[in-house]
Amino acid sequence: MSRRSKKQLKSEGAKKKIDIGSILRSQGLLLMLIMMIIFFRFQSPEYFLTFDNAITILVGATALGIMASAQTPLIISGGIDVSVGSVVALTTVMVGKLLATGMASWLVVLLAILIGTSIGLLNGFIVVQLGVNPFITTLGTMSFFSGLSFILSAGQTVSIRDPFFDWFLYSKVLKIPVLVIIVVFVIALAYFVERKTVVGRNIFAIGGNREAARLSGISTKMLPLGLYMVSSLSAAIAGVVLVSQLGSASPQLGTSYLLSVVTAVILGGTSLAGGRGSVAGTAIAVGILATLSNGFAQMQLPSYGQTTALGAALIIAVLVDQTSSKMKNK
Amino acid sequence: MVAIDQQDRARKGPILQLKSISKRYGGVQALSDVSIQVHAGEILCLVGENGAGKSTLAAIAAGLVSSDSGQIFIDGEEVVLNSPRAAEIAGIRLTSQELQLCPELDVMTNVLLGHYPRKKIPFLVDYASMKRKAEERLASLGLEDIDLFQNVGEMPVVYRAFVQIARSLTPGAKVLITDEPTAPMSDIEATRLMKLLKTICDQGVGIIFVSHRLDEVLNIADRVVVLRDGKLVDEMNKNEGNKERIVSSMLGHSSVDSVRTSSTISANSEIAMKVENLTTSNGIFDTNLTLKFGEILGVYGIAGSGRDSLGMTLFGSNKPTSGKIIVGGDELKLGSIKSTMDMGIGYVPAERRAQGLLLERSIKENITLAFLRKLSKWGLIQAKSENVSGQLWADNLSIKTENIENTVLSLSGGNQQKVLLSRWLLTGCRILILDDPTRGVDIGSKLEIYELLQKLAHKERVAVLVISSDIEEVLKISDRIEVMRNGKITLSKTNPTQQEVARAAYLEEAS
Repeated sequence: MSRRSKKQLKSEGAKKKIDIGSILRSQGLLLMLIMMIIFFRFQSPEYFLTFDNAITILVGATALGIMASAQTPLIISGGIDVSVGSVVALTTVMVGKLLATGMASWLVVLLAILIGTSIGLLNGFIVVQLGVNPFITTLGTMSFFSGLSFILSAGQTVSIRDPFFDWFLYSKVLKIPVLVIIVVFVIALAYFVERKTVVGRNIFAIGGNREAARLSGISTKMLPLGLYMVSSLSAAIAGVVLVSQLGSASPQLGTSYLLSVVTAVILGGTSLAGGRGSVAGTAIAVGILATLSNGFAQMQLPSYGQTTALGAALIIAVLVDQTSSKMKNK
Repeated sequence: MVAIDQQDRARKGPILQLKSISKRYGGVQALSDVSIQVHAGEILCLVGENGAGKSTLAAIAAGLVSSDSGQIFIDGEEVVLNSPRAAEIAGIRLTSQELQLCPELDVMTNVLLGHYPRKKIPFLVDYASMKRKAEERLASLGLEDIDLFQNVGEMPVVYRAFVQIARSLTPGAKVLITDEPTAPMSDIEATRLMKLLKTICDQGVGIIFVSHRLDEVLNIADRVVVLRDGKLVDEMNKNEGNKERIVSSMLGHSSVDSVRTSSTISANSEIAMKVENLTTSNGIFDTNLTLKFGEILGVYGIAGSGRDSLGMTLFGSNKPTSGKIIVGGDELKLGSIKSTMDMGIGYVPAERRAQGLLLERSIKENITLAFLRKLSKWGLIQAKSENVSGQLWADNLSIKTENIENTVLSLSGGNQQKVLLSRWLLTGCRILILDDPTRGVDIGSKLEIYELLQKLAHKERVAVLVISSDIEEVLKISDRIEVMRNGKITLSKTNPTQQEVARAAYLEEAS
């Protein structure tokens, strides 16, 4: 057998195995979602599989979906942002505070989002310019800003009655709520950037091999800085979404997002080590989380059961991922 | 005395014998019917191109991989080595290419890793006897100069290799297998390692030494075994071995030397890059250099001579403390990779995996990485032009793959290096800086890369700067040679002899 034909055989073998692995990975997650839908369908035959409930699930997933879409490229680039929960909290508290001064609601929203995004600038500066580990940096800012939100609000929950936020929550286009359109748009945008643009490719390059990216003329500072800002921007938008959904502003709002955003991204198959992942996987993972919480509510199970199920699902998903990549490497 | 040794060996028989070993990976016959043996106090060298089966054979002997068929004998008794543990009990020790040490721990701990002496009280480590044991181990190998308490991560690569070998030689070691330990080393470092292997061999350990460097092999081997495509194609004793024979066995055809195209540079060839009084904080002092279009300028230096810093600095990776770089009549903005690239300069770094490749991404993406902006409109990648460019350069450099969407990890070292070369050729750079372009590359690809560089310089009139730790490489391909030592140029000459280059690299002080 000549050397050349051997090489061909080798690469053919490798290709086949990669395909199995990637199918197991991506479709495994989708399978999980479908099985969950079937399960809840039998638990709640008359309601679960209706248009209204689908919309409810999607509306419930809006805040998480927006934040997870922004977190995914950040984690692929080798960064992480666990401070998003505190940005949500600070944004909602700022909305409450500013509305109370009688400021126009559009200006309030704009200011709140600006303040939220500036936290991303701070995170990015500390990580990129000062070289502090991203997890430690955002853990620090998370603690700092959630504390600050409690101080500013004195721990009070403020109820918000404002036409803008009502419009935001209730208005629909062709029977589909604006919130759903926003989250679908954000996911689609992130997907497009990841797949089609130079920026998307550079994100993978930086996360996969930072030095190689740098020595190929890719800016390994500006891009990550931008990703931290986008992450905080997404959290600030999520904050505004939550204020309108709950009709109140509270410093406690963000706490539940402390880890669920990162959980969704990891569940979606993105590697914490960077260089590998996809927005599509994240979108399915967000769907799983939202379906889980909707189904549990309909079965009238305690919400604690949800976190238990989620924890198990996360570990199983990562196990499947690792097993399939081991198969690929063999 | 040698004669007695050999008689001794013949009487005792081999310490390790692998008989008719075959191994198949999927559709590839990695080894077919290979038999080798090594005696106590003998150094057996395994050579062959990448993918010839050397590492598989080493892995089978070390119990990491089990063979499909064949037998293994130790001291004449058949053994089954189905796990690394079984091989260790049998007396076989393997040190592989990637250093398996804990960089944050000190030498003493690394040497005894997993075999700490205990105190009588459970769970407590006996540090006093640990220090003694580590000292003894290092002293027995003639490595008294290693500081027991230094962290391994802070040591030069050759010392790390020493520590790793010291660690693997636990009591009961009969055979030491080292898989390309010298790949990341300079010549002088490799020489030190060779000396160590001799010492170990003299203590009655059998050594199987895998290497790409034929000089080393000829220098140290008692016997040489050549593998090609999973078969044993040649075996020779020390006195029968010569480079010509080994290379022709490895390649399956003779002719070592590539066709040396002659350069047509003359004194008035256009200057591509002029470096004036360059000084950096990472080991370059007051260096002057001129690079012309249409030539290959070789820069040789041993590790620590400043040769690595030179490439990085010229490419704008770090900012010099003083000096000028003039390209095309203009002064280059220092310390900026982007402006350096804009001036048409490309750079292939020394560490292919750590500094060059995105291992999990496709061949295509690795080729287009530095040129992606030009293959896009408004930040959108033009998929078609990317595919065309990727395929074109994969074909131009005959990168052996059937699909450029395969990951770059699926390629051999030589082909991976060609991917890095095509990354810069695609950009159309007029000045190409390469740092150790054939490190860890098999001989076949090495010759291809040499031919390519000569074509680039002599036909396309690109200015090529090759920085290298391989003295033969520099002598072979360069039109002009500069030698660095201690951060300064110690020799600058058109056709120096090997002795001149070596003298300048090892001995001379710059005036």
